[in-house]
Amino acid sequence: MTQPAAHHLSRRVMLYGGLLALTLLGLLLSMLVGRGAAGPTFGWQAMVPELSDGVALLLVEVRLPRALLGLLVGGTLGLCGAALQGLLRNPLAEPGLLGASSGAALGAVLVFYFGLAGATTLLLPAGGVLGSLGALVVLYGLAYRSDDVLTLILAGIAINAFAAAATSLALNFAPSPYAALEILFWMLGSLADRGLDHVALVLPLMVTGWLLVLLSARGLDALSLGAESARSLGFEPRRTQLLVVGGTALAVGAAVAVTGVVGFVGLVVPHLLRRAVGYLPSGLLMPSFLGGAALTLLADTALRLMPPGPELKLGVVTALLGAPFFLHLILRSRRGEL
Amino acid sequence: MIALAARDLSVAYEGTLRLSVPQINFATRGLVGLIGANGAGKTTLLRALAGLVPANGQIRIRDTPLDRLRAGERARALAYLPQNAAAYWPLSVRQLAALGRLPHRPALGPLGGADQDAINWAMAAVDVQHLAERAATTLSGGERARVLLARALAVQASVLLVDEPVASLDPYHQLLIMQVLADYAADRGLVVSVLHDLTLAARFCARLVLIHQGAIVADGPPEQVLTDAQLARCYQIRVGRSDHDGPVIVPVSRVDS
Repeated sequence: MTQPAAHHLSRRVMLYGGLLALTLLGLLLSMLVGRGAAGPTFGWQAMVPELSDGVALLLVEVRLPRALLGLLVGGTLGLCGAALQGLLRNPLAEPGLLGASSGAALGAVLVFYFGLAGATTLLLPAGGVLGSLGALVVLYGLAYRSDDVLTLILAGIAINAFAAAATSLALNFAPSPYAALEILFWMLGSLADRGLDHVALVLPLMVTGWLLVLLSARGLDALSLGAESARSLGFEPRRTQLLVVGGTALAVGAAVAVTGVVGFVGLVVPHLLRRAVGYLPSGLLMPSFLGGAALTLLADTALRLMPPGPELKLGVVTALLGAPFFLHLILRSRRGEL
Repeated sequence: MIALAARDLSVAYEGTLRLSVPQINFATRGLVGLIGANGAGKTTLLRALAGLVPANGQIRIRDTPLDRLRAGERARALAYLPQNAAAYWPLSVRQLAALGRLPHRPALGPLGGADQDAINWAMAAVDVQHLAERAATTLSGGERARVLLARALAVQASVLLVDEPVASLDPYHQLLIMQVLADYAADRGLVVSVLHDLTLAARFCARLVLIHQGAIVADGPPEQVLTDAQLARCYQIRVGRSDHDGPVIVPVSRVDS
């Protein structure tokens, strides 16, 4: 019995080590690689003693928040995607499913719409956070009485549909074409042009959300036997649901509020890692956090290597890569391989 | 010594009374069979005893009211295996059995030595050690039923409640599982099992509880419970009987009232 146990341990150490190394690499590249005339090696100049103040300023004011947000947002999406897939016992679940993302998007769009975004840079993410909390309240109003996952999913679909309609309405009545364009671009999802004050705004919400989700770990394992067995093992499914849904709404809502909608990370990352961690939902949570962070940081760095012109939005890239992958998942699940 | 007791127990779904049990006691050892026709209330009684459905009345584990136990304490004292239990991810057989140790484990940290011992013991009891690294989703129906029982055994609770553990198993594995339950009931604690096979019930259980329309109509040794009159009334069947190192009871015709 010791040998397989030791084998599992070393496999886990390798997995965590690999994911941690990828995340650190992503952070480093995100700090060093720039866009445009400055070229990819720009960041090295900061290491040179006689560096100009401008370079240090760029690293701290521009690259650092971008890298930190990549880490935080990607990690949030990976972690919450893994937890939701465990809760719903379905590998096709993702953080946007429950309406927190679209609620946050609507909140931010309303700030745009009323032209308040210019007043202070923090008003926009604040609107997003309020929007996601609003979506959470509605979700509970619709589904809190039941531990049936179908009710939860249907409530999420209803919220998503309503938020999408309201967002379209805002676009429809946008005060100027310029405002409509600005809203659209923001919704595409990007880490560019955010500051450390954005990081400070969302960090407490995200950390609270992560902790709630992590507290559900054992409950998610119990749920892999079904709701009734989970309850008999002392893990009330409604409590697990409260932790996962509440934590996801806080963390993902905060993420969407600062970056717009970055799709598919939360779907794809847990799925890629599930076999490697041995399928147990609790064992998937932290690897998915690291995997989500690494994927987001590397994707955001790759964007900056594109030829000059309008910068590709991160959400566009993740969706472009993610959608075919999603199709692949559906086809495989139809063949019963999931 | 009483392991599990219920008093004035009643369960209602959507305003309809489904189960009414004035009193029932279970000793600390022994295999008790819950029998009765489909819809009689066997599963409802089992779930009520496990504290899994809202019920009126009082249930006690030893001397403690069930609702005064914390969820973890209840889960350590009382293990429950539902009918048609399932596993939703392709967990390995060992991982699945290890889920039975969840009530014993702290919020963080790996499985301890006592956990490993319990998991090995439970897998050995139902003869699935050779499947330890197989994905539970690739097992045959009989193998899966044994693995899920191993999960419930691994809790090592003093009360084990199982709902139709031998449904959909071949005769060999029906006998194997019944022997596992009988051994657990002799060495470790009370086992209450919903059963449909009257022969297995009569041969393996020292005590049978016959339920009909949400009420207990007979409670005692098999020869007192499985009378022609009771079977005609509760199951609407006539049976043939013989003896091969114990009773054999085979349904032969329906009785239409």
